[in-house]
Amino acid sequence: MRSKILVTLLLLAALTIPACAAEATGSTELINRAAQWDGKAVCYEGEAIGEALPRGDWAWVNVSDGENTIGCYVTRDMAAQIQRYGRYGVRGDTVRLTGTFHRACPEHGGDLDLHVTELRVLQAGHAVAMPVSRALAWASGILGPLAVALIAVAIFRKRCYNED
Amino acid sequence: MVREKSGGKLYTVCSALGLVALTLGVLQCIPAVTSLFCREWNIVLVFVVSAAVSAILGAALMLIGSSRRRQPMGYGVGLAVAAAAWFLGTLLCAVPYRLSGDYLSYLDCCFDVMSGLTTTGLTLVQKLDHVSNGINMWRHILTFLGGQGMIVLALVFLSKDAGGAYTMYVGEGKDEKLLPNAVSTAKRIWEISILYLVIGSAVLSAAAAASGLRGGRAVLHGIWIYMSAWSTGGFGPMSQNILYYHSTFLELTTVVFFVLGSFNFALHHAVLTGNRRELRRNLETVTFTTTLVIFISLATIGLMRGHVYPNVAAMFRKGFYQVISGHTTTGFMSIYAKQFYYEWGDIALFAITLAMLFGGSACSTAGGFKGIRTGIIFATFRAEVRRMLLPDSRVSEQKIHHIRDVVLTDRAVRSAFVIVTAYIITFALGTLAGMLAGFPMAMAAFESASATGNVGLSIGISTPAMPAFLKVTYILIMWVARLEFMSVLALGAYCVRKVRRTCDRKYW
Repeated sequence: MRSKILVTLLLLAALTIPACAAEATGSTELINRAAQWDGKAVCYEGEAIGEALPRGDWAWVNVSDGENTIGCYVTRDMAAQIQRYGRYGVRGDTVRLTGTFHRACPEHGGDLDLHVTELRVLQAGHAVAMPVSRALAWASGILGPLAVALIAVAIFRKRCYNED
Repeated sequence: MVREKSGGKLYTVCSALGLVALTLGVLQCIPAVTSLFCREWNIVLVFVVSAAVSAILGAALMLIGSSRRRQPMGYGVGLAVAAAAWFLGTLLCAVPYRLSGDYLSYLDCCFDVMSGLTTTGLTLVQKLDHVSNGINMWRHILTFLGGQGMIVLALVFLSKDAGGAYTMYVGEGKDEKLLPNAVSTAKRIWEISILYLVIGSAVLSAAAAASGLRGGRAVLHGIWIYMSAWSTGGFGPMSQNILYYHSTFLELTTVVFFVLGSFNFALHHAVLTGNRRELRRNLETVTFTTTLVIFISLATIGLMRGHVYPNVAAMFRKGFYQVISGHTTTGFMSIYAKQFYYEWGDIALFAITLAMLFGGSACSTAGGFKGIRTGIIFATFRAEVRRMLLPDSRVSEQKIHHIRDVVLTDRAVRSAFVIVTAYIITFALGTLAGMLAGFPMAMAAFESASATGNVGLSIGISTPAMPAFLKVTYILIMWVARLEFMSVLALGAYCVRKVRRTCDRKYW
């Protein structure tokens, strides 16, 4: 009796563990072996880039794992969890997604995509420091005026040549 | 034998190259201003330095070239200058890429510049999704510039110094004279392009906004996608290319503009000046329509046999889009590179590889064999068959219609066969290089066709990890194919002649 209760409790506990406890599948694996993964539940992890592209109650979020970027179809509420999207000078939120992978989604015109059922932000994004390069600043200060002077001389010389 | 003095021509060559370098320097103000507005301070400095380098070199060459001993360029020298200008332009335009840190090596930078200028679209950039707006603006300006022609732009600024203008114009792979002289023709080409730029950017910005982008990003992406579409370049501002937007409407809009971009500028000029019948009658539009139907049919058969797409809508959106993107030599991708290899199957791959080689129209932004040559070759075959079957008295001159009715001469036929043969040899050498690098033949042939036709669709070979010799091979292929061989051969012959003369002088 006790063992039955213990087993039942363990089973109930297992149901509460997030579905994506397993290692995430990489984008290269998903793309290269898309036929094998088609229609299956997958875990995918990466940086949200660009912006959320709203589609009514849903949105597209493109997520990059460093090798490729995959379009993920999420609810507007899930998209709202993402605070930062990656771009120049910004590292986007790292997200972990669970959902159904489609090699050629019949709902979305044949796109390779992931219909997400669960989204979790693993790490918040942040601004990336882009300090101004001193070498570039010095080079600009020297080469810029030199270029302007030479262009002026070339134009002046050309006008004198044409007048003659 | 009297040896002509070549010193006078050297001044003209320096002047022409200087003008091109200076033009490239001035153009870099556009991405510099873009970065200024977007507060990308480091990138502003990158373009100031790079523009200054181009401008200094350009001004120096123009000063050397402003001599009273200048002589007009001959036809061969003009062709060689066109090729040399593209080579010099590649080296100069790669400087901002190198300074930005977005590329692994200067060779990768040169690859991307040549890919942009030749409107190919293959790219080796690192982390495209994190590239600055300034660098993205430069990438797309290069493809827009290359589509119209770098020499064509420089010619716009020539007025009295038009010596050699026509030969340089021809050396850039264009030979249509829209107006009486090359300078006027160059200006007209740019007028047509700027007109479409304004309209196209507005339409595509709206399409980008409809797909979910907001504010300034929608405008920037609209302008970039337009530049890439019209110039049949295929660059996209994001790593997923057109797939990033998940928008059928935006994809269809790009189809309109890249098909327009693949049409002959002479056809645009004819239609814009009231001759709309030319659209139906022109040999190139007839040829393009015929080959497009054939290749789409073949691709559809292949995709249906492989059950690649679940329904007609998906088949149209992916299959049709990729084939027309390849045939117009645009290179926009709505699927991942490896999907071509792993999913499309041999028949569909064969169809799209051929479509890339056949290409768009002559004197357009497109690459490949060109519709005029395909049309001439087909007309020649038909004429030969008629000659065999009909009595001599019933055989008349073969005519084709390209802006006007033209008798098909032996010279035109020979020229078509020679250039198409050159393309096929180039494609074969590129395929061989790919196989030597370890790739299967289907992949090597696809990527070689993409480089030879200046298309930009990739099957996954063109990555930063590609062997250096293959990068160099593709750079050379993109260069010679874009300039249609003659100017590069002229440059090679010119260099060999110079070396021989120098050696002769040393010994004698």
